[in-house]
Amino acid sequence: MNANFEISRRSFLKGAGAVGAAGLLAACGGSSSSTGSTATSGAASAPAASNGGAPLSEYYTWESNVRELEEWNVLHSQDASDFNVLTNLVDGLLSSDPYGKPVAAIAESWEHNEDASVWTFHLRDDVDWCDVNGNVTGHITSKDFLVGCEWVINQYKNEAFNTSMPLQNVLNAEEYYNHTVELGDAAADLTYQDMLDFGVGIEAPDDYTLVFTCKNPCPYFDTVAGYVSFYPASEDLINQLGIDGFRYATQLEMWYCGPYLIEEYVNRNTKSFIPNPTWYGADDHSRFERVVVTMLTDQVVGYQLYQNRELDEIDLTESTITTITNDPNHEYADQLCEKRPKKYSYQFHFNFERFNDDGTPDDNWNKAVANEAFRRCMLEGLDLTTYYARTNAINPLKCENDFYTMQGVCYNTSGKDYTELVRERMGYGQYDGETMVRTRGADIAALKQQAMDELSAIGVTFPVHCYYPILSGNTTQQDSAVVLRQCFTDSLGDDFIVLDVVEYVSSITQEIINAHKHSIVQNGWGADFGDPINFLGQEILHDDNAYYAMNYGFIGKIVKEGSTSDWQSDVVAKFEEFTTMVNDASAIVDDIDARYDAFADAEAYMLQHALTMPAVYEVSWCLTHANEYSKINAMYGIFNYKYVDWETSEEAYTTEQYEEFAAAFNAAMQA
Amino acid sequence: MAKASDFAGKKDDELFYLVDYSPEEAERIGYSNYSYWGSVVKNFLKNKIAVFCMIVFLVLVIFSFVALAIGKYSYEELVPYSSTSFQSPNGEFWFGTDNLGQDYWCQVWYATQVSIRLALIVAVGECIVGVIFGLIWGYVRKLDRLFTEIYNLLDSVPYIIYMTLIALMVGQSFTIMAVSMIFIGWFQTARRVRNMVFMYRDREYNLASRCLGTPLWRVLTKNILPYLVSVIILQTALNIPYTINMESTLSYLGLGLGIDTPSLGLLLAKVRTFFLDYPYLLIFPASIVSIISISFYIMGNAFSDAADPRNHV
Amino acid sequence: MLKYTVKRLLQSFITILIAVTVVFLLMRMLPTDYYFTEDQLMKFTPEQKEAALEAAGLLDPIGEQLVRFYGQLLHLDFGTSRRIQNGMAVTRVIGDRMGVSLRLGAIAFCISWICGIIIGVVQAAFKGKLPDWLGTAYTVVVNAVPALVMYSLVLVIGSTVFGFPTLYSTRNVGPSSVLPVICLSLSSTAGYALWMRRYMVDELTRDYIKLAKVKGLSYSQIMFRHVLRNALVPMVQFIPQSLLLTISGSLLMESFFSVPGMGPLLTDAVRRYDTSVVQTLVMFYAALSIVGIFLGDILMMLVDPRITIAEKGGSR
Repeated sequence: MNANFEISRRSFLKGAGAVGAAGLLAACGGSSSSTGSTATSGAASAPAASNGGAPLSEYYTWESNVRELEEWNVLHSQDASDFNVLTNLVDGLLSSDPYGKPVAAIAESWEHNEDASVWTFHLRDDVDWCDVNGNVTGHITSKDFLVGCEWVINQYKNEAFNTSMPLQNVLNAEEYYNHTVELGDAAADLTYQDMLDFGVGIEAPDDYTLVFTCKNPCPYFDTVAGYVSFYPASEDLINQLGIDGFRYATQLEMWYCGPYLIEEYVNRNTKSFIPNPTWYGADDHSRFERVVVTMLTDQVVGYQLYQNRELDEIDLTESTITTITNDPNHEYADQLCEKRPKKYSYQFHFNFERFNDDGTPDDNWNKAVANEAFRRCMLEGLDLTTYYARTNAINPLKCENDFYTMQGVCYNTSGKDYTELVRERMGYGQYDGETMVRTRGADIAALKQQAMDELSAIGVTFPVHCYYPILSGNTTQQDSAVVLRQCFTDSLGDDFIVLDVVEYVSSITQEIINAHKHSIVQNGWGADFGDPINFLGQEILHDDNAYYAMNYGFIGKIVKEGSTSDWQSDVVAKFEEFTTMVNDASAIVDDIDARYDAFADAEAYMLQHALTMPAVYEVSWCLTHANEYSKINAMYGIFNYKYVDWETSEEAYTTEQYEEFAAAFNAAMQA
Repeated sequence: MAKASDFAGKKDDELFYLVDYSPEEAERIGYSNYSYWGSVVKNFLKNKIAVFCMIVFLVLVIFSFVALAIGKYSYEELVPYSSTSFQSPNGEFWFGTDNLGQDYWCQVWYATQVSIRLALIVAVGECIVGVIFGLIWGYVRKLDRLFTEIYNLLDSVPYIIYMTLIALMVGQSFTIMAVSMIFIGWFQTARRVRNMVFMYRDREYNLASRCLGTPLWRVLTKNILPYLVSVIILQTALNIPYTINMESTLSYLGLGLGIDTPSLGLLLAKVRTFFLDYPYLLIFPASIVSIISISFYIMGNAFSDAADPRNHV
Repeated sequence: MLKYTVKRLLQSFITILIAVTVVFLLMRMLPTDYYFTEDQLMKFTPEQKEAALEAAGLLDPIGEQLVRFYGQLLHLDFGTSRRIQNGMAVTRVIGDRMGVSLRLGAIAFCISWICGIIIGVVQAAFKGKLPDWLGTAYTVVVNAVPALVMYSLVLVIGSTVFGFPTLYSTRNVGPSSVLPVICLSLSSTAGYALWMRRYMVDELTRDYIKLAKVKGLSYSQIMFRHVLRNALVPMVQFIPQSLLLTISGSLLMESFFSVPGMGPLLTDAVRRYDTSVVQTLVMFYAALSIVGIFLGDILMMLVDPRITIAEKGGSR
């Protein structure tokens, strides 16, 4: 603990001495601002709160205890829980605006050539590295990006982390990576110059220009370039700390170039941020004088902290929501705010090769799931309203997910969300708050009869058991599974499908997925970059990188190994057709609209034949002093937790105001 | 032996008479109809509160069966129903409903049975295994080192590792849970027993027994065990609430019983997040746990007082 | 005595080595995918996984790994954490947390040991009377209510009625430690009181007490000069072990109040499969408990000369 005290950079604390420190710091518990850190805060003033309250100068927020940061090196980390912290400490080429579109960060402007295979980024000339105390330690030029890129694609240095984006997109990056694998320990001595000599598609014509050459035309490369694989790294720091030292540099050793510095870090307890005095964006963006993130074991404590105003926002649990909504005179009755969906599109993935516990194939399920009518029964017949109510008790149907690709990942040239294109093709209506969009007008009885007839003919016995995994000891998941089981019973009947819950102790991948023990499994996919291929590419055949087809549904694996059974020929044919459609769409690089239309056709085909079953969006309710709609909301990248340009207010926001924000936001999106 | 009433109303010279030599009478010793366990029971029954607790516990066990039988909903057929969620106790739902709108009455009583069964099995299991090994460990000097090593080995690997690995490799079920809890608990009892044995092993009467060639098991069971009974019983009684408690911690960590065998610990871990808003969800299972624990504390203490041979006669 | 001590310490050292070897092997019985986060498993290709494992030396034969592990131990190198705080030396990960747990634990232990003994003595002195009943009631209630529930109650009452901070905070150490310390002391006080009363009552029925009574010693003399001293013997044995074990923290309490201590570390490390942290913790805990028992035995010998543990030639 002491280690974290020693680094305190506020002079008044040093004057007070160690004994007084605790007492003095006690004053910071409330919202009173201390004098020490104000000097560093940016020149740009905070946005005025739209509800008339005074903007907050310090912000107290929370994070779940299980999502504690594990490492500080943004190049080496691959976990969202790390990025939520690191995005405030280091910046990359690009960032994102509240609508999710790429905006300038260290790169001021960028452009690409005609077929989108060469991308040029123009960097700012006023970006500095600084240490944890805010002292300038270096200047960022295009060389730092070369060093960073070399670090990432050098297997010895970065241990294969974060390599997929550069390897898939940048010319010769994969060859260079393989080269470092062959070299083994000798790869430690390679420098960025070696990388350039090797012919990797990244160059620095001058100190403030960076040019990427892509393997194939890549119209969405600006959304790729914002990813952590392309973050800068300082050669001086690497030399100073050594390779192992840099790889695992802590918050005390690392260099910063983002909007905040770490003031205090106590594992599983607190993190506090103070503004980086050397940040290039200080004049253009507003920051808090301090942001404190408290780690919470559970939301009950969080609600209590919010009541004492020790937190400025809190997500609500179902019991608290029920209490507040049942009591019109509750102090928070008009302050319930509905958040936007989180960036994950959850799917129930079908497993086409399920094994029993003893490792023999569960052909009853495998035959059933290979039948299209059977799958369509689940997709079109399951009324999941009560299941959605587990996530959002007030507006359950806001959680309905009807697509494979996440909303807001990309827009065509007329500003239309890509998923709306799919909606048109599927003939789905819009949210009406009463029934699920995709179950409207479906004749399940006929489909069910068809499925039962067809399946009985090939020896399937009913009811078919559908195995659904949940984390042992997680009561929320247990309850959801109980409700889901009831949805199956109510919508499809116990004579047809029965949902059986199986539990895993620690790792779902290890205990369930790799052992083929699931029938369906719910999993969320968040975009890595802004193009539908990032989603649809996970379900195609003949591609070892198609994550879900290879590792979850195993259809890709079955086809690859040629172990297709007779009764699977139909579903395999459907997947083949889908794969062709996706690959054709992916080949269209010169016309964005045509590209998205082609992808939408492929996705609609996938849904019409029920090759997947979209599950939920995460839409929760909160009490808050911050305007969600002023935060960055990008579907890819690491920017969503950047505490920059937030609109906050001393007065809590009300339900009504949030509805207005939502309406205004959606209007602005369409514009 | 002659009783005082035999002499009432007899003349002085009738009080003295010659008695024939009787070999049986010659062998008799005082207090021959003293029975250790009889005295224990008698002393225990004298403690009204302990008896009351025992009755309460027995009633609770019986009632858990009755409750399930007379309840309006059966545990196996519970249906989640969002419109009835978080209803306070009423005529339809006697203990109210949980967050899913399921009847809480049958859940609580079903869980009560599971928890009691688990706690009893584990406590008795630990007691038997622990006492046997503890006696040998404490009494047989040659084995002391071996046992100490085993103890250290078992004790030094935290139980959470065993529990996690068992759950990962073998799975989760009632039997596995019970066995693994005995496995990680017995050596604590054994160590306490061993320490007690140390205190009595070198007493003179034991030395005498050894000199007389009394077999080991007889020394252990007749000379030493009675001294330990009070401590052992207390330990076992305390193990029952401890097991329930530990089971709730394990459930909290996801290492508890499976989804289909709810225990009171599981219920508590679950409703913990609701109890500020809906206290009844916590009160019912917590009261039952408390009743069980209190009963065993008081019974354990009373029984161990009663089992102390120095309190007899 | 010295010889015995050295011999015993040597034995303990071997025990620790065996224990950590067992854990080392146990942890490697699981498939290597456990080394990765779910996020990593999603994004990694098999080759990348292989490469990452290779780099960390986890694909070598188990014997080789074990030998390397022993070698590192010889240099007192406990390795680095892979998941808890990636790349940080395990000793630092543990060291940071140990202080917090030890501080809270030691305060709580002192409070509860002293309170426990006082309560136990009072109960025994007034056996069967009101103080005894009150003490028993306290013991029973505290032990009967499950810890999860009790902590929730302490948290709610402490924060809403008395206004103590709900979560432990390094910015506000004093006040925010109050509720955690209360939670820690509540149940252990009851435990000490229970055993203290038990031992006192046991002593009270001894023959020498009867003799003392017959001799006409006053009640307080009997209680303090004879009963208390004898009853303290087994209580003393708890001291070193309990005190040392406070370092390992309290799993439930610490996760409840977000105390950045040792308590949740082990579970966390096991679940995240952070093998270096698990092994070091196991060694550490093993050492703690062995030293604790050892000191306890010695302390017991010191206060009660009748008890011998070391083998003396000829006595048997």
